[in-house]
Amino acid sequence: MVADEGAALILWRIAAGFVGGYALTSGFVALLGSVLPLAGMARGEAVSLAAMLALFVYVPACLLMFATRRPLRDGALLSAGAAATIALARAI
Amino acid sequence: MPAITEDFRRAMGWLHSWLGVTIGVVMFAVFWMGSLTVFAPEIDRWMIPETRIVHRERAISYDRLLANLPPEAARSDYINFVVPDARRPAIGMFYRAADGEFRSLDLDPATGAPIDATDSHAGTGFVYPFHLSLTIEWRSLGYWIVGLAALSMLILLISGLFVHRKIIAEFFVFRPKRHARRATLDLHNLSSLAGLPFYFLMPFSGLLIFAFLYLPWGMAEPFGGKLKDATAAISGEYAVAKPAGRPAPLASVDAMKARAEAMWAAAEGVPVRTNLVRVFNYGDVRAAVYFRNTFPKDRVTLSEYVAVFDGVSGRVLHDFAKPPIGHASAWVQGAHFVQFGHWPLRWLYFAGGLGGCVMIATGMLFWLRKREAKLSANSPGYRLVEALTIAGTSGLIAATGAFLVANRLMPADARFVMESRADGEVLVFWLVWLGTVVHAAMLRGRAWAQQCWLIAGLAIAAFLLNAVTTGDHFVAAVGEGLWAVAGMDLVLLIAAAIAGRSAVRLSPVRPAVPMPVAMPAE
Repeated sequence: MVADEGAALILWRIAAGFVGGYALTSGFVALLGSVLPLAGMARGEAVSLAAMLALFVYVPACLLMFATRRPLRDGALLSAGAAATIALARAI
Repeated sequence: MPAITEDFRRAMGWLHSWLGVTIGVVMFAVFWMGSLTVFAPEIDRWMIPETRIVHRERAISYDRLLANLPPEAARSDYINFVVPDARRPAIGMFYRAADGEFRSLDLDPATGAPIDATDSHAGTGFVYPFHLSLTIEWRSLGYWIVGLAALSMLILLISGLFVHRKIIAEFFVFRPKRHARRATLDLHNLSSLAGLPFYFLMPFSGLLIFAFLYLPWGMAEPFGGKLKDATAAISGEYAVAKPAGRPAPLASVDAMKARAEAMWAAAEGVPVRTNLVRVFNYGDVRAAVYFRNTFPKDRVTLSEYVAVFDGVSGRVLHDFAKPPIGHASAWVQGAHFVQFGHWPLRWLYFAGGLGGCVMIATGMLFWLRKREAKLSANSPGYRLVEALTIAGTSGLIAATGAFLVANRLMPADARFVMESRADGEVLVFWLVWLGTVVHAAMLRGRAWAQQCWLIAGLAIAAFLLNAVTTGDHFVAAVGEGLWAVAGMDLVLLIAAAIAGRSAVRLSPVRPAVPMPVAMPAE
């Protein structure tokens, strides 16, 4: 549990939550903004929608990193998710 | 659905406590200045008395204004007019000078002549930017700090909901007579729950307003990494060509404005008025004129329409109307700005903002109260949080009061170490705030009452100084229909009363000294 942990693990949670969560959110916005136009939505509208939904990704990512009992695994998963969304958005 | 375990609740409690203490001072500052920003134009009227003009609906000729521009402005490649309304009765004008800096002036709506106004950043130039960026402009650092505070606010609200087991019951519980720690927590819970939807809306919409700044890569990537293309598609921005250096007369701006409003009205089915008139490359063959309905009075949605005209031929270059999702986003942003004409809602926003201040301050106070009986109460960490809590709340309010008093006391030619009189007022704000940090660090708990007395004194001084230096005392302001001035004065009096009462309640009670009793001689 976070309250009983050492500084290194708490710092990892903070970094993974805030920095990893930011990367995931950026990737999410880019991916949604790139995918929805393939279905016919105007690009500006797709990015507007993605920006409105961004906090529904970022806030839960931060909360997850402080709630989890497996911060190393979940932080790694979150970072991998961020890398995957960014790579996918760039590929489209 | 999995049950919320005790471990999860403890984790959320830990996050709620430490994130709140770490970023609480910034959140309080943003909420405090945000509450004041609701009335930024009214603060402008109070601090810049020359603009206390009673608004009258009148047709303004922008052709005439452009023909009579000050020489420096006439050479500018960027001239901006803000159309006057009841809250901003003067014509706002700013332009880019030859040195690249922006200069602003107020124009008389009747004559179009520049008003020799008090040099003050006032509400729009200081309070509002402080709310957005703490006025830390370096690499947009202030915007990022405020963004982090807004994100933290959302995390704190959600984690707070998980921390409390009996959230509905707690809404109805306030025991001011109980011991201080209990009463502080009750007030924290009550203020949190009373304005919960508002506290969600504000950081959410605030972050959305600056989405281009906070998520530049994510928003630009779908446009091939070109952020300008993204802003053009989403906000209707238009890239104007650089001046060619060949002079050409400007077509009638008034005619273009009428045409823009007619196009918008045809699309909307009701009249739509422009709030912003911008002339690019004035006097050049590549001149362009830009119109936008930034802050409509009859709707929440911001900047629904943009129209850009060729400055020489008067032909339409760009006609933009917000599409449905963009419209929804602009509605959320408009709900944050509260610029539409709805006074009761504006006062509710102000009350909601102050409620947020109470929520944040009591949260930080509860953190202190919980630890004050322990040995850790003398640790450097505790003392730091204590000093920052006192200076970050009562100290910030006192600094705001000093900013108002400095505005009324400072001579017109005051310069200090800053560039202008307006910067001098801001310097006073920062010096007083810094002073309250030192004061709180030295006097610890006793500083609360003294800083409350300071707030009360400054509020009364500002009230009196307005009357003495402008003649628009409260009764005169009401009589002349200067509601902005009367409202500010009234708020100052209420603030003084609340601060005075708080100071009395927070003053340490002196123990009764027993009367000496004559002892019988032995």
